[in-house]
Amino acid sequence: MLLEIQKLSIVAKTEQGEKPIVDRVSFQVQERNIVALVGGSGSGKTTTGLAVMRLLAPGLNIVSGSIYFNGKNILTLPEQQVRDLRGGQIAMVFQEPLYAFNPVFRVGYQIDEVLRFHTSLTVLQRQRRVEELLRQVEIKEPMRIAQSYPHQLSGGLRQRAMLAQAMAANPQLIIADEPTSNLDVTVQARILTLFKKLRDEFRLTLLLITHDLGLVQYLSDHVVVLSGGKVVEQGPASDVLQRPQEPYTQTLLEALK
Amino acid sequence: MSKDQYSVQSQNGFQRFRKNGWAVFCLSVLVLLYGAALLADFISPYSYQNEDRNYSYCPPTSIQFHDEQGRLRWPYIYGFKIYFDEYHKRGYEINREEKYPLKLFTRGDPYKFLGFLPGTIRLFGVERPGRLLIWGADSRGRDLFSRIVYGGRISLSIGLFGVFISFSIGLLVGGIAGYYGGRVDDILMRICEMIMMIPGFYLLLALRAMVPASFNSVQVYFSIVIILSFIGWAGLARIIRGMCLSIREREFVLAAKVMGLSDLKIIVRHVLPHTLSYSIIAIMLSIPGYILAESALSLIGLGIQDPYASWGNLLSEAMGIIQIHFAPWILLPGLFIFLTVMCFNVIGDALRDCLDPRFRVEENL
Repeated sequence: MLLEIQKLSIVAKTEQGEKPIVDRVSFQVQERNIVALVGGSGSGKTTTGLAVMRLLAPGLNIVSGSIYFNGKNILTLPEQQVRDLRGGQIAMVFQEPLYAFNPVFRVGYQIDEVLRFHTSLTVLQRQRRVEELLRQVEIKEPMRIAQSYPHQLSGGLRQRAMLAQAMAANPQLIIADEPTSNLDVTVQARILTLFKKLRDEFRLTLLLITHDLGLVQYLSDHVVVLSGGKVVEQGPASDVLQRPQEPYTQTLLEALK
Repeated sequence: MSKDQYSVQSQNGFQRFRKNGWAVFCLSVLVLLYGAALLADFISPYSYQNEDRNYSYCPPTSIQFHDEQGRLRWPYIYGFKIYFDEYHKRGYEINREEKYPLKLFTRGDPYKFLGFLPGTIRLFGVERPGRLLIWGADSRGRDLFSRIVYGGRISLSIGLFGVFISFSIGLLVGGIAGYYGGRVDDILMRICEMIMMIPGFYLLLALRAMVPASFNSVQVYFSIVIILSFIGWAGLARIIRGMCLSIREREFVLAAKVMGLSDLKIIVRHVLPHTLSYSIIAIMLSIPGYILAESALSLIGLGIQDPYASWGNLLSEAMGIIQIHFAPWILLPGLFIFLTVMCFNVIGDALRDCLDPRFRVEENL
């Protein structure tokens, strides 16, 4: 088992006391699987994703539970080891790459940065690797894109570049937080095809955080439905989507139609 | 909107800087001054310690281009005849019997260029016993032009080193305070305020008093740099901290954390570059402060010590009315301080116009 989350509870400290954000959430991600974390806004799906990275916003605290990655509990690891995991073995794709890329550096430089910290490649090897990565995400002119600043690229290109950055150090797990929701429909479709191709070609393990059931249907093997911080239903994608047991899942599916 | 205006707005900052003629002029003046300071050994006819007490407060030598018959000649200078008047005051009279032609690439006082390349060739000079004093001499008969060129080395470089050190500290402290926030921020900012609370000049004097008198000139130079930068970083740190407070909330900082970068690397590589356009302007506008502070210290005799020259300690000779009255040329170093400070300010202002969107001047309104 690559990732195993057990009874994870996260609370937010507010003036009125502690408010649960994630409540005893448990699920597992098997290697070479795509697991979708589905739920509406505020259901705690992004928070769960960030907890795996141990990068919760200040004010959010993990009160109980454990997160096992490759058998090691991430929550008890020393900071230095967690840092090696981040970007090296667990990578993340953000919703809006325009904000996730640093606007003052070229895209290629930022992809290279991951390689610099997580691999021992030489400058030339890294350069070749950046080019290779950009080709893998089906960017036709990798050198030109690498030389561009984030704001000079289109949304689709940016998301591809972001994906290339996430894949740079060959991570075992990629967490994708709403990777397509800021793209228009045609571009969405192309990014989805890309995800599927990468899954088949590179056997990616993906934790897909989304509210888009269309995406889930198309990509995922396993679905975890979250609502109000609780897991309401989980199971193989075909089961959950075809024969939803819970009324909440049914409403979500209704909305899709 | 006219087409012209569109093209102006699409220019980047440095293209817009180039359009500001006044700033470009000042930049070339500075390049000239720094170039002269760097090549001081070659440009100045004498070494900064070459003294001849016979020429105490000797007035500027005028270079002659015509001979007595009014024909154009290779430039030459006349010698001086020294006399004493009825009050035993020294006076100089042009001695038309002695002529010394100006020589280019002549052999002069030996020097070590950049500290290791030995040489004796100087751009211009005259044969001994002639003495070329194009901007006059000081009390010990040293050539003021040479001293000013050499003094530029100290006065001009102290601003750069001082800014480099204090901005390194200021950016780092501001970055750390802004990035971490909370208690770290509180402690660092209180320290900044403590430093800013003490009037700068008195702090300068107090710190200077702590430097042992036995220090040699290089040590004195660096202790002055360090003292100046110790005072300068606090104000910058506060502003950078404010900027970092907002930058750290942006998503690319989270993305950098996800990448596995350490906090320090995130601060230096991802947060601080966003303060760059402000920092460049602030650097330009604070260099004059260091130059002036060094001049002030040297002027009151606490800075660079004789025989080494800095514009401040050259100016300290001009502190008496007698000297200014009889040898007004010893005020020249002040002109250079003024020129440098003004150039840095003009360039800083021009940079602000083209880099800082909040102060952007609409050119084609």
